[in-house]
Amino acid sequence: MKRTRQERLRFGFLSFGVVLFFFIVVGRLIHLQIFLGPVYQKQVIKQSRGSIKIPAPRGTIYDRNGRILASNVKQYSLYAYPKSEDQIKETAAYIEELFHYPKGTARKKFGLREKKFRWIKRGIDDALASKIESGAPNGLYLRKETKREYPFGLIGKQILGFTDIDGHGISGIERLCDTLLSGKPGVADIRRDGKHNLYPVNETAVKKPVTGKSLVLTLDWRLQEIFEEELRDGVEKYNAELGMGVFVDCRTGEVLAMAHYDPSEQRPDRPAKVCTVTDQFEPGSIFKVFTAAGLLDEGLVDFSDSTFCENGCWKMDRGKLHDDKKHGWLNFRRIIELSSNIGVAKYASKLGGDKLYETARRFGFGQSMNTGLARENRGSIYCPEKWSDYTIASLSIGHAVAVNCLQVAMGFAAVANRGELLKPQLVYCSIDDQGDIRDTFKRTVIRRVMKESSADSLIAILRGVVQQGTATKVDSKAVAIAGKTGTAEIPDLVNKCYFKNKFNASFAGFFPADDPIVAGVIVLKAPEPIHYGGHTSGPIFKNIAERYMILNPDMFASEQRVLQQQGLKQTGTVIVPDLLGKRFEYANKIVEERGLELRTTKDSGTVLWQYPSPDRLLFENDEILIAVAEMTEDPIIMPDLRGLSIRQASAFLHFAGIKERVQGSGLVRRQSIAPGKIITKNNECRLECRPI
Amino acid sequence: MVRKTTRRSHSKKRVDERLLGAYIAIIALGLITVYSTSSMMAENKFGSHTFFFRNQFIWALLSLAVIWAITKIDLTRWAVYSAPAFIFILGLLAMVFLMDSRNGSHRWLMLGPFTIQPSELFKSVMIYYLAFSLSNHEHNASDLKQLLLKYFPLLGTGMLLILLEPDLGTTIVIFITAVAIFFLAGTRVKYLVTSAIPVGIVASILVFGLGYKRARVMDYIHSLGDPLQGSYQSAQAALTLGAGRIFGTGLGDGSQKLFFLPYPHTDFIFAAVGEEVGLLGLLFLLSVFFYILKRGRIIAMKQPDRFGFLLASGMTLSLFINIAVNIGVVTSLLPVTGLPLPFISYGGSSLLISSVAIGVLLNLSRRVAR
Repeated sequence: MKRTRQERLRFGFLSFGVVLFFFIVVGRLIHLQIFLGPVYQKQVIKQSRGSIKIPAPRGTIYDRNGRILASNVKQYSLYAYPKSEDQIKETAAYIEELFHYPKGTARKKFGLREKKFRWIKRGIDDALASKIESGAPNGLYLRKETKREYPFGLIGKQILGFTDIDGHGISGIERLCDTLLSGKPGVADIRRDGKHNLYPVNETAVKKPVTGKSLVLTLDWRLQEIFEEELRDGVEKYNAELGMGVFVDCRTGEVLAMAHYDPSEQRPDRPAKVCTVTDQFEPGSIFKVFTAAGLLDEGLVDFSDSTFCENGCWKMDRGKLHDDKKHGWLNFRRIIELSSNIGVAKYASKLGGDKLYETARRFGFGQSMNTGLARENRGSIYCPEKWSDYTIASLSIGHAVAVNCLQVAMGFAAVANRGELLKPQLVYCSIDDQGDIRDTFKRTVIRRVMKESSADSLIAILRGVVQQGTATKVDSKAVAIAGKTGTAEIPDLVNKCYFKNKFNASFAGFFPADDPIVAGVIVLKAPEPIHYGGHTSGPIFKNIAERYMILNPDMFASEQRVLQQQGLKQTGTVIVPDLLGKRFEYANKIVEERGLELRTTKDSGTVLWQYPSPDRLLFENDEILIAVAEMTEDPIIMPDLRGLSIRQASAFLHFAGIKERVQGSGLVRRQSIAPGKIITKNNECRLECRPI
Repeated sequence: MVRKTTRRSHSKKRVDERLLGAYIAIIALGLITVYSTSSMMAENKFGSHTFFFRNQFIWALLSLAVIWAITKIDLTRWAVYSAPAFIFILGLLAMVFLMDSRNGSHRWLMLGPFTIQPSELFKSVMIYYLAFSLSNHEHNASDLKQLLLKYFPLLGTGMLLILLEPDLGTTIVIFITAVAIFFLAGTRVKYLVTSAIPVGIVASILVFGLGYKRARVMDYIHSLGDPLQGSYQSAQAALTLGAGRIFGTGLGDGSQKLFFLPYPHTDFIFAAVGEEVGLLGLLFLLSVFFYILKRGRIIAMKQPDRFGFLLASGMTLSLFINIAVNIGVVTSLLPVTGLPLPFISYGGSSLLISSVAIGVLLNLSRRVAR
């Protein structure tokens, strides 16, 4: 049946409507999607996308030997973001169960509310985190964060400092170098939904975070470990209230170790200050060294002349000056060796107030060392205008002046390096994320504080203090220590006088005396019953010096033998076995038994050469480099020299008969002959080195 | 006359394969777009990104089975039962008010685990009934007495019940569909225009006098100038479409479905899809719709009898009106009303009812001599 005309017409009319509709819709879509599209797209992007900061990993901190002192580890933190009343209830119940809170307390404790972000616990270990991940109800979530980790625990914690939970440095180096360490946070695009949830699923970094710079400290953690151990033992042995000290490399001003030990400290993991720069004290007799420096420089000392020391009590205008022991006539050398207050005071009166003040200022007292550490104390020294003779006498023997440990150490370093006051350095260099070394410190001489010749005389006198003076207990057969003891009364700030039986016992010095490398100071506050610096701080100093020397055989090559013959042995050290001529397998066994490691050219054959040589001391897990070859004219293969010291590497090259060309200093970073290549004589190997 | 054509209609002619192909294509498109627009929400709400997709897939399979069944039955033989069925549906519409309301309206009838919308059934059965009734008594369509005493009360009651649910959108769709069928059946235009007058008056009083959905209408009026000035929903829909531009963000990559655009997988799926596939993708989707409607028209025009013509064109037009209202709302051409986009939107009953329309068209295509 054909459609009637009316049906066709009417259906045609409706069809026209349908077609018209499609045209309108297409037109509208073109309007919306082509003409309005660009504007709408921007608006959509604005409402659905955002950016969040991607935290930048904090830089690593190394000690001067490349040991990692502070690094980052991942940690999880738990937070609540309940979206409904039900979720609040579930979340609260889960938290109560998880952390064993009494029922019904979690909600109030954490202030759980609908659509409110609340931290529940930060820093959750992995086991708990995975448990939470699988079992947590909606509304409770984990966030990945990085946490600062200190592999050496409390060692050097005061100087290293710590960070808050958000990774900002709070104290110590972490605070001092916070801008260097923290890097620049990146920016990531995230998607947001209409319910203000964030979707990190499509996270793409627009700006990658710039990792913070790593720092290489001048501190030597081996020394730091020894130092803290000895200091703690010393404080406990001598019943001191506080012990502190600093060791510096007197040639460069690099701080090698610094610490304090306070038995009553509440939170040793959260040290608030670095006492060695923040705490001031009256130095007492160790200050006589600086008085002596001034006298020597002014040429006021006649070594043949003697001074009467008043048999231990000298009445002055405003008071009496006492000696610990009664001394008669003494020459200048003996005055310092025996630490006669009266003798020094008499000499100081020759020098006069102005000169004495000037000398003290020259050595940096009363001025900040600009370490940048928080709350650094610059000490105090009064202007000479109002001084009486008694004040001059007091100052010359280290009273009426306040100093901090670092100042004393730098002062002794200046004497030890024959007269140059150096700026103390804590940071050796920084390394950016590309591995490039930046901001390497430069040895900075603040000023010359005394003539070289006067320094030489003073060093000899200070050696005498240890050999036949107040510090005979410090005398070591292993290493020639020079220094000065100090036993100073502690001011009682409340009663404005000195405590009768409370003393700061100190020893400051340097070693080895003939060519000083390390200068340092140890101060014990109020040790009992022995309060003499030469009997308390002195022995601590001696132990540290000896142990440090064992650790750095290269530095103290000549003293090494003496120690070994004395049979002194350091815990954790191993005597290098003689591997020469042994088969590789056997050599490997010996080395393993001793807890050392081998680095070898190849792993079969006979050991032809080794470094270090037999009978030297090494730390456990240190490496011995050996050259192995079959006895039948086997070619020598280039070992991996990277990471070795120049001394080690060049010793090998010398053995292999290869010429060396060294660029830079420090540890080998690159070698021109690749490891594994066969070496022919007359090759030249270029070593690129970098300091660490 | 109907009896006479029954024999012929039962010949072993094959269904219109082009329509079937287009139908399967659009169902597939629907499944893809449902997955793409709902997976995030499904993950968020149900912990499974395929939650909506799976349901829709099952409904699609069910729809295919229903279509197959419909092509096998003799529509002319069953047409006599359309009048009682229509009355029965009216009863169901009344029963809806005994049910608990959901989202503030009584649209659903819960039968154990199943929920049905009698208004959807009403639409299909109405078309069937009108096709039967208007073809059986050819002059009914132009007989004012019949119109006033029979069709007006019947249809009016149904539409009033649906309006009271309240479901204005469906009421309008049904009203337009009914008017279109009467128009095709030969009712004088004068009568149809006249019928629109009371509806217009009632609507104006409702909207402007009593404030019913007044805000929505005002939003619509604002949105005519600038789509962003309309309601939140239509503004977001316009933004979503605009953000897609010509090529779209890519399937699954739209950001507006993440709770910015309301109902991204149901009523506003056209916008959500538009963001992901862009203008080009939407033109493709529209052309598939257009092709289906075109096949519907061809089938209707070639029907051997008036019943088939009215039924086929009624089904085609009702599909069109659903599509037109939905897309009109999404593109801010019409005021916001909650209607799904046939075949594409998530939702079992919508898919099933739309598929029934296709099934009827396929059934009728078998009667066409080719």
